[in-house]
Amino acid sequence: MSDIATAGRTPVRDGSPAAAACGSWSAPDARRVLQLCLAAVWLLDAILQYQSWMFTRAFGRMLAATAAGNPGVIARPITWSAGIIEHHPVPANAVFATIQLALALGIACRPTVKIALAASVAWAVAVWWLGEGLGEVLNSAASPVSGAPGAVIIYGLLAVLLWPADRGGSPAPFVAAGAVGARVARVLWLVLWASLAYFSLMAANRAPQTLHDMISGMASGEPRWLASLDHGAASLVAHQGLAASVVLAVALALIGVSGYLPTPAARAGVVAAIVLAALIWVFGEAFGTIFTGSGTDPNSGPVLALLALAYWPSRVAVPGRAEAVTSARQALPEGH
Amino acid sequence: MGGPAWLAGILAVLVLVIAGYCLGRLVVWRTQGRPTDVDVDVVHGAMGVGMAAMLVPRLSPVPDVTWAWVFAVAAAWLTWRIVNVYRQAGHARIAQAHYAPHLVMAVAMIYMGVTYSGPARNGPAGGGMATAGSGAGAQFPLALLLALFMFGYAVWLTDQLTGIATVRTWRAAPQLALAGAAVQATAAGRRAEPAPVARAAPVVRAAVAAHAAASGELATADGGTPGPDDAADRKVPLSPRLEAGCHIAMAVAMGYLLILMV
Repeated sequence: MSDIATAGRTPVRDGSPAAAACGSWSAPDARRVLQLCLAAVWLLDAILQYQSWMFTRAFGRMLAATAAGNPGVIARPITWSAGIIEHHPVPANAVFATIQLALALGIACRPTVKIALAASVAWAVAVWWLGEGLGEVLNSAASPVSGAPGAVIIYGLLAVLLWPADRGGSPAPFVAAGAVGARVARVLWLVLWASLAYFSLMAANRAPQTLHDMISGMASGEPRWLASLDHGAASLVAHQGLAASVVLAVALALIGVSGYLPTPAARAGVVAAIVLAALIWVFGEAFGTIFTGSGTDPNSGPVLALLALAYWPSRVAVPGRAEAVTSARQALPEGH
Repeated sequence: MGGPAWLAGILAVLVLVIAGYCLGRLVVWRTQGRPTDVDVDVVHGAMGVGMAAMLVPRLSPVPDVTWAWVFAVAAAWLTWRIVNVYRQAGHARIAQAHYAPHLVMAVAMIYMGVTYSGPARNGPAGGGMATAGSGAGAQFPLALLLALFMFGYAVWLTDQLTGIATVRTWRAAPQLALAGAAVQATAAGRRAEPAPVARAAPVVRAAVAAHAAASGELATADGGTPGPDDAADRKVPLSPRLEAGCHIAMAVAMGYLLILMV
């Protein structure tokens, strides 16, 4: 920045020429900080999409492979769009990457945040279907360790939860409750983590070597330090598929219900969710295979952690207390 | 994994245009006396040329490792500026934030200059920037960390873009030119930060404090209220918002280069 001067959009109060030119730039609140984090993830996603492998026919074939195991009504559009991308990989991928770049910058820029968040929801749903095959949730192959239910649908969920509007007059008990209300936000949290628990208990994930093979398979093409981490983690769960799946499912379920518990337990649930997301990102997703040059996104680990942060109970309002205070104020006679 | 050649070409043109713009700002500063960040413009001008050389190697006028030395000097200079601002502004930590992102960008250029060499430089898709650290040979993921910094910086700056005055609003309120002195006085504990400055975006406040510390405007701020003549004497700064836009584009382009090296 060369010099001074601000020109915000909010009307100014003190009436001086300088202040009129300045406006007031408000420091980002917790929701805005999370929006900016989401924008940064979209930006990383966009730049990964600009890697040369994405401009090859192999990218289209990879998308087509996500149709396998899905019902026909889901699979046919995937095959159709993957065919187009495979035949025109350069323009198609250039458009995809540029859309994601625009979403990132749009969310980061205050005047366009609503448009960009709304567009990101539509884009996330389209990519979840046509690019990720609905995260394999319909073909019994989904695993929370490998990124189910799909990173991009969590982007969309975050866009909804971080929508810049407040519901009701009382302060939200956590950021995610601001736009949709605490009850809906908690239901969404429960559904997400309970579904992850369910996926981890599916037959394919309970097999003795499934988790071992999943983790050790991520080591291929990775740098030595990451490959050795993956091999080490895989050896810990060798022939322990059932036990590991049950432990994981219990942890995921507890995180899901923590949103309904008192504040200390809810915070513990958020911390556990962040730790688990980090473990999944490192060992199960190998940082979204970014180091191989073929990672299209950072996968679900970072966005799960970001989502968990949106559920961190704030000190301003405790569940139930804000409503009680509001009711008490309404009951008071005027002038108090 | 390298990037596509056509994309490398487009980005090279973009960063060269930005470099030309930064150098143009220096010309206007020299000929018309319009305020600008001279050192930041010089560093970004060199970054633009250096990044273009990495994207399209045949554009490079010097051997690759030369860029590492160029930006080592730039990093040393920016470090000195940060130390100097700290000494002048004391506890005003925001003042140090002005040069810190540019310092990290210079460090990233050193990293790319050092690691970007050898037979791997021409990637399979023909782009210049290539596989310095990809796959099994990659060590500590410094490139990824630097790339994440660039994306975070780009997003942080974009968030503040509408909080940065255009030249038109600057002309309408030249009193803003005195904000630097006010911030300097605030840092020295003499008076409260004035409302227009207190409400400014962090990137603007950091620039204000850094400039005030660098130019020793304490004399103006020392106790008295600056008069209208002081404001009228100040020149309108060179397109602060466009400059921020250039920094955003540069950070995104650098993040792309770093991702290619991951």
